[in-house]
Amino acid sequence: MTEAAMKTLIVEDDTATRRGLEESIKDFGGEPHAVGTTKQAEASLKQFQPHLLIVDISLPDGDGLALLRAAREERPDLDAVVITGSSSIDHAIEALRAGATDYLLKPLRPAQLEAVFQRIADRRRLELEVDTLRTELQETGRLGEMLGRSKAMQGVFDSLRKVARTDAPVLITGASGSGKEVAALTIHRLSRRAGKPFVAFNCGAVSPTLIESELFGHERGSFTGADKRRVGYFEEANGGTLFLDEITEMTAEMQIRLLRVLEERTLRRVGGTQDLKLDVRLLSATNRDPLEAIRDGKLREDLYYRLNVFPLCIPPLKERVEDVELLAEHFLREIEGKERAGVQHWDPKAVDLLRAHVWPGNVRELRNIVHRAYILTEGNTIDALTVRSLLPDNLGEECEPKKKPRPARRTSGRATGRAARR
Amino acid sequence: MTAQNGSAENGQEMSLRRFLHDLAAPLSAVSLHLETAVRRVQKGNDPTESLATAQRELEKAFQLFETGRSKLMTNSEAPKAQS
Repeated sequence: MTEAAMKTLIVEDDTATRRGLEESIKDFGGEPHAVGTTKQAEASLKQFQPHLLIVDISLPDGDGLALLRAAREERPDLDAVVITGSSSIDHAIEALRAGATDYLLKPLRPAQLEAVFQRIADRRRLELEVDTLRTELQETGRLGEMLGRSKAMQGVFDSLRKVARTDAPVLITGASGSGKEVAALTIHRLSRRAGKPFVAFNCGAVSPTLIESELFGHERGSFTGADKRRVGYFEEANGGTLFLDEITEMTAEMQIRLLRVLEERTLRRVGGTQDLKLDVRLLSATNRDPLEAIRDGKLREDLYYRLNVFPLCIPPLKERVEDVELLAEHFLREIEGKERAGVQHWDPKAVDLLRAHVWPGNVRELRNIVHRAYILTEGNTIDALTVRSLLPDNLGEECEPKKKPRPARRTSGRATGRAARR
Repeated sequence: MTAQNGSAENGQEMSLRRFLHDLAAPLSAVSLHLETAVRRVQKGNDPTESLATAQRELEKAFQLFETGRSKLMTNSEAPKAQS
């Protein structure tokens, strides 16, 4: 939305009330468009693209709440005010459950309508300001925890910004070290859940027998060694975001259990008898091709469709060579901020070497090289000789330990610095 | 109460509900347009259109009220005529 008037679609069958609402919205500085039936409203939602929907509960050709539900399914950011002639509390609850921002009773009072309208307009203005700031940050090569000015990363930032506003499950794919967890953390921090926990769990790092109790928790005495009740990662992430890395490493049995939890939005602790309600946004990731994983029997197809509502692919570093310098500068600043050894600059030839490398270990590998170069540098500038001595041609890839899954861990959404910024 | 009486009462209640619902719409519009007119005057704008709509809706409400009253009169006189 721009600073222009808030586009408001009015759906009210009574002509005089409709006209009154139209006039009021104009008086408040909005841009109204009024219709009398759900059928007309469906067409107007597409053509007029309103920011706000004002809808009467009872309409001659249908239910205003059903219209609202359908509209919000298409446009989750659509604000809505429901009008009702009945003061029944059930109507109010039903309206709010359908996604209404507010509801008003007839006879309508323009003063009340104005208060609701201005509150929504103010909130939208703030959202616009945040969006503008985000765009500015993006133009400077940064979005949340992520860095990149390349075209590939700008595309990722764009998708990330859009999906962060929603509650849709995201399946993040990308090579090892490309920054999948950082992308997940960025989605969380840009979302409405930012003030709630962000919990990361690596399915490949825990033995299959333990995953169930790690994720869903267990009751005391539910199995040998369960000497006290334990809250699982799902419960810990309640209200916030759960990030499941290496999702294809989960056993088929666990995938079925996960699917059930996602469908029913409830879980039962191991050994428990009570179903607990959940409000968790699930982000997942894999470094495998998910379709190949389905073919290989590593990922259930039904779960894939549940997780992959919005796919996000993080490109490998070799496909965004133009970001290498920006990242190297950033890591150097970050390391200098902690170590304070006075190494603050790059010799341009050292940067050329970094750019020419193919980075099989992606951003994680680049960060490690920057850290090693920092440690080895004695002056204030990292030179080409130091970088050349560290790149795998000289070090030999066989010196690198084989990649082990990182351990499962918990991260609070409010905490900072737990994940490397990329 | 016989089944016939019961269904007659249900019918009457339904008619009354419909009548009240129909009457509420123009009255609600009158209220909305009158308040809009007041706000317009306070802001130094022309309230004519809002007042005209309020007047039309009030006439509509009055007509509905009259129709309802004559129906009620007819219904209450009918049993007397039969006795």
